[in-house]
Amino acid sequence: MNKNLKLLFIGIGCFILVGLISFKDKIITSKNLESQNRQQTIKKTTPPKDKKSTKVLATNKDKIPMRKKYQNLKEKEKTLVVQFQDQRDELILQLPLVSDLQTLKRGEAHHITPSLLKTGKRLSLLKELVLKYPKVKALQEEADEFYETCADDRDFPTSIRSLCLFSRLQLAKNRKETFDISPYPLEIKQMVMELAPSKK
Amino acid sequence: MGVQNSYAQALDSTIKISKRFPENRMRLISQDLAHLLKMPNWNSLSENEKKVLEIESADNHTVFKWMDARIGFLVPKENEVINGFSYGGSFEDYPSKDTFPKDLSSLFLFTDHTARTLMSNPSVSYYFAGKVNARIARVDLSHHFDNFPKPISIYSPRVGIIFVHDDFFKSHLYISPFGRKSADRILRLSHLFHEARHSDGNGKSLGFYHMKCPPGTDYAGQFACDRASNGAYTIGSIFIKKSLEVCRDCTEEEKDSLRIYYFDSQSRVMNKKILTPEDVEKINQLENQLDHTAHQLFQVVGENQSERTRILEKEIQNILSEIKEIKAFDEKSQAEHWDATPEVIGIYHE
Repeated sequence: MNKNLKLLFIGIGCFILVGLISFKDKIITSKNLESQNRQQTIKKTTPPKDKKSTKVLATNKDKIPMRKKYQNLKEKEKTLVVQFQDQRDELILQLPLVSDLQTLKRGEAHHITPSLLKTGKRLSLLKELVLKYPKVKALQEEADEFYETCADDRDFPTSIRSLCLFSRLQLAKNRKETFDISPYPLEIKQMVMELAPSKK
Repeated sequence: MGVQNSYAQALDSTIKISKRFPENRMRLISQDLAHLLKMPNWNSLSENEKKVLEIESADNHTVFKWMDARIGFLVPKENEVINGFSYGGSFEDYPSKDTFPKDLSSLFLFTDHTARTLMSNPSVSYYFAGKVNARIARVDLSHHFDNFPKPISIYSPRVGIIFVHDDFFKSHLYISPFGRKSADRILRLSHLFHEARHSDGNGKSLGFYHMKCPPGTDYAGQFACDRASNGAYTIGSIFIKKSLEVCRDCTEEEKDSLRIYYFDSQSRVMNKKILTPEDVEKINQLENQLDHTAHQLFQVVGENQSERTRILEKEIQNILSEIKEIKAFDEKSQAEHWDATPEVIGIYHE
């Protein structure tokens, strides 16, 4: 009786083992899928910190079409473009808006806010990558589009828009090109020309 | 005190730094001021820059003296100073005694200890209080400086008491990791130049007070704009621009931080048409009208009503032109150049 019971348990054990081995791949795959879905859900449900500008700048640059667009690029160029896109998307979420400046507490608006000051640094880090590779056309195109859209976006403070236009001019100068700034608002153009890269 | 003494001797400056600053902060301020004299001379000044600063030479000693004449005391922003305000004897003979700035609200910001300004120049507010009350305003700084047994008389905003808030020293205002590079010092010095300008002006321009930023501007509703073309924001931005031109050890990243500060300061100078509340209301009305007309246009698209479409398109163009006209940059509405001559009680001596 005991012997039969042992054999029965061994049999059940083997059955479970075989079952586990054959379903192992499926379990791992489904776990991965679950994790991927969770990440996607986070991406979908995390609001872009109430930044309307994020929407404006990011909608045209959804990553999947972008990768299709640049699928013929060399691997290094692709990496650079993706690096730029990642940095840019992170930056966009951190840019202060005009509405942020208008709701500062009493006295805080008297001098520049730390968030604006940090923006200068963040925009510069993004520009550094682009200036380094003037011959990677895809990267230059991505950057041009970003700086032009930023300079044109009225949700951003004049200071940020001006620095974006200034940076756009620097990129053009770096590629020995010209860039027409006539469509931009006069007050921005005037300030940018005061510090214009060509003056240096 | 050792830091202050060596600094004062080395720079031949009249600026006094409160002993109530922790030693490391006192040293930082001293080093910043010393940095101004070590910087390469600015490139030549433009005609406009000469007009604004009222100096002819761009050498750093002249620039330093400009600030030195307007700042007398750097003190931490503490309640003791604000509570140490009092009135001395009567004094009737204030210069331009019946002329006052148009908008006084921003002057109170300088002494309001709840306001989180990085720096402020309360001298003008104290002086103004004396002027209004026909008495001599006095401030007790004896806790801050040795050999100051009595309250000092505010005979002019040029006495130059500058409050420095704790936040001024915090790392969130650093451009480089430790806040000790040229770019950091230029940033902090530009704040001092900004405050120095508040020691200037007379009558209507007394203190070069800030105006409430008009609707349609970045800081709308905040007292953070200048009507004067030679006001504190212009002074700060000229300092940044000229220092940027000669900064040899500033990295591109540091320069961009200074550039955004320049753009921020310049954008606060109201050299464009200022929108009145009526202008804003009119623009809102026109934009509603625009939406309505555009909606009508969409309704007739594809219905072969070319005449109606043409009329609506023309209407949209007219509305857009009208909005543009209201918002238009007006060359005739350039910011005003204010008289920077300071008010000083010449005959009152204690």
